[in-house]
Amino acid sequence: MSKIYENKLALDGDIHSHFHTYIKEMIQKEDILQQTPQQLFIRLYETVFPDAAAFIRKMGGDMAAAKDIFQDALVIYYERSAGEDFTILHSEKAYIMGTCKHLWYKKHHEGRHEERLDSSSALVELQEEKASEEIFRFIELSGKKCLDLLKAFYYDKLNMKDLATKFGFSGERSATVQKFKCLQKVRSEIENRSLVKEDFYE
Amino acid sequence: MNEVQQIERYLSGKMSPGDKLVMDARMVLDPRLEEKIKWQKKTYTLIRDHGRKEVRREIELAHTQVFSEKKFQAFQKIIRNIFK
Repeated sequence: MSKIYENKLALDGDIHSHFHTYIKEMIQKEDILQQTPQQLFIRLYETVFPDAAAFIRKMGGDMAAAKDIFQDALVIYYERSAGEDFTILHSEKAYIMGTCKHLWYKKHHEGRHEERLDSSSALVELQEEKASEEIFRFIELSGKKCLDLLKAFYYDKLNMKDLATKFGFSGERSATVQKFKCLQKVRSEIENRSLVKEDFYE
Repeated sequence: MNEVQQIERYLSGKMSPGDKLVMDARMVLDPRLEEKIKWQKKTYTLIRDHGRKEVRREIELAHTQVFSEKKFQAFQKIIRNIFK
């Protein structure tokens, strides 16, 4: 049990309801591991999208706006719930609804001017994009299994135990070794390339 | 291999101050190390970007499914009523 949760318990004194939330959230965390992301998102569409859509409609938005905002909120929820200390404080629906509202207000009240890009920064972005695509090809060259493994660790934030199970390694140690081997492969690809093309390192 | 691991610890801020100092000194002596750190950092960023793209793809698939399959008719009706 995390410190934050313990403190919250002590503050509120409402042990039963918090414990209930805690258990519920732990079950949800389990779900995240067991169901495919698509199943998770279908469930969230069914349970949260009607409320999110009603909110966007009330604010004057259309279906396209509701879709954009809801999907961004799902990405944020997915990434946050992948991090460790997240599960306890929020219910899933409240979190996603809160994010939708935040995204709507952000889009419509603050910094509309931010959307404009002057041409020079657009050019820089384009160049960076090109360089990134090139480097991403090196990552792909390390093989699909490596890419999946690296994504599962660095993006989905699976721990080594789950990683070992998912990819069929004998244990946590073996998964760790494999992960670093994959990073080493990416690095070798980049280094090989830099020998061919001297100016690659700028 | 060892170096890749060291760089990961360096970038994640999990290195002890002493080890970090050694790393910083090595970077001064070996400019290639600085490049390696830069590329490893970039690799992490790109893997996360890739992960986010995959998640967006999954979400879009879910969207298509709940708005096209008969199984989700009741849901579709609720949403239609909201925007009518």
